[in-house]
Amino acid sequence: MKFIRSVFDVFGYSPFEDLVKHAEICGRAIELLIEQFAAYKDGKMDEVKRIGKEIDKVEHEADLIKRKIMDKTSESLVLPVDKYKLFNFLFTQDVIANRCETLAKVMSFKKVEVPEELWKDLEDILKNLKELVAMYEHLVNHTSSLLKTSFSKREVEEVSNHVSEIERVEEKLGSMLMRLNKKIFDLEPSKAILMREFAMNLIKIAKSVEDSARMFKSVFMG
Amino acid sequence: MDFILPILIVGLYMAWNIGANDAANSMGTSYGSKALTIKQIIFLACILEFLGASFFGHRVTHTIAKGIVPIEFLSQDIVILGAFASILSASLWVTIATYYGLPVSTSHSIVGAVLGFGIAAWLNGLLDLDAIKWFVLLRIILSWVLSPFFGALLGFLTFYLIRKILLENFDVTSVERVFRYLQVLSACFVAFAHGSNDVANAVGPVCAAFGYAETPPWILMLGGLGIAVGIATWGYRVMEVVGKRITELTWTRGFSAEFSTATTVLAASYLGMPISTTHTIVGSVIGVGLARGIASIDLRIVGTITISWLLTIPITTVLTTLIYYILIILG
Repeated sequence: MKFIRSVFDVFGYSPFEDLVKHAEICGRAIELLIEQFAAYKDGKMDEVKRIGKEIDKVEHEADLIKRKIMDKTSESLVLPVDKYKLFNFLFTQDVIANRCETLAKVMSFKKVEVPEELWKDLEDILKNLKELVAMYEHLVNHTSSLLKTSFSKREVEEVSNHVSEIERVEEKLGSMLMRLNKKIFDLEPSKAILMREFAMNLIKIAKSVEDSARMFKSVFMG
Repeated sequence: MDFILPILIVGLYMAWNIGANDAANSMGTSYGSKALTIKQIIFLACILEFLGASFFGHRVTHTIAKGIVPIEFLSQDIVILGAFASILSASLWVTIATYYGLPVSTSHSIVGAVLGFGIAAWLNGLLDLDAIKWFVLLRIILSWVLSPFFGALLGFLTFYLIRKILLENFDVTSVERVFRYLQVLSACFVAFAHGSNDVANAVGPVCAAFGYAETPPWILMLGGLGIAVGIATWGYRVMEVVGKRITELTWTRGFSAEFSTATTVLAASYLGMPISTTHTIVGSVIGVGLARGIASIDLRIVGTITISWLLTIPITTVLTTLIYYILIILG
């Protein structure tokens, strides 16, 4: 007989820790993608495929956490933030991992030879993407302090500043990718199609990170 | 006077029950926020619950023993029988509820049981229905509505002020560090308040059975001892389970919930109202949550608690009446 009469079940499931974990996994997917690009550039297609499978696993892991959050955040839970905004943020964040998975698959299609200048541009873009991800992870890590301070003005201002920084880097990335696109159209058609696919997916990933950052701000700042 | 020893035994069982479960419910936030270790909580709770029961418990005991049923109109044998039936039915209900994990209130159980005794005496033709002090009962029921409300209000205000004055202007880690010590004090406060209010549930009817006009210190001490033994023997296990369920609880939140619970309970004790400590802490936790202090509150559980709260009075009333009649039939 357990003989326990506890009132502390009133403390319901808190989705915030899992949300941060989900963000970290999305960040991990982008890091793997950057590694995959390096392997692709060097023509190591076996390595490209291996990393692709790893991204698959990471995306699945993100899906499991997403499902857990949705299953456990029941109607009866009262959270300090709007539950539906929180779900929207989760879905937007989840798109990051999905897009990484798509791009990882595209990269495993075939190796194309392109001028060194294009690789150089791509490397610069990936470097900025890495910076964007680091900033995003830093932003999401504010969750704990936001909750601890019960959304104090200082914390909220810091979040706001972080989002502005992310928007700035995303804009820079957008311009870099547009310049890359112009160069891509100088390539022969088969190469151009694949390279454009890379560029467009990278734009979408960067945009998803920016969207998630904005949603994060909306969840915690109302 | 054949029932005196069984009454003492059942009274002690009730006190043990209170110590084993309710003390853990009252002080669970201290373990959840890691302000204190289980051993420290058990040690403090044993001493302070005993002191609260011994020195502050007499007012509520008086309300439960004599406030609802005018025992001065009944013979001593009937009072003893009624007291035995009341404690037994309340204890049985608490045991059944505990078995099913329902967080019922021992205060509600005993008040329902004493009411059942009054109704049984009326059915037996020994008392007029008008003689039952419905006004006192109404006051007690009102206090159950008000206690979670005041717990919530105080919890909200306490945490809101901490947030506005301290958390928004100073370094969070430094503020929390100070509140770790304050939470130890609030844990002591809550243990003392709990002992003072809940000892009545175990010793109120015992006191009536002995025919004491004023609750003697030895009965309060006996109740306090029962509670302390409950904490020492079973509170450890309950606390361990309860503490693991609470996550993301900081010291400022733990302090706010405990401080508001203890203040409400002690004020109710002073006014002689046997309120439910468990429901006051639920109110306080909700109050802190409404001030955006708690990551997640499950309203479904709050609903379950409210249902078990509503069920307790009719069940214990009927159960006492049945036990009373069985004892009459058995002669």
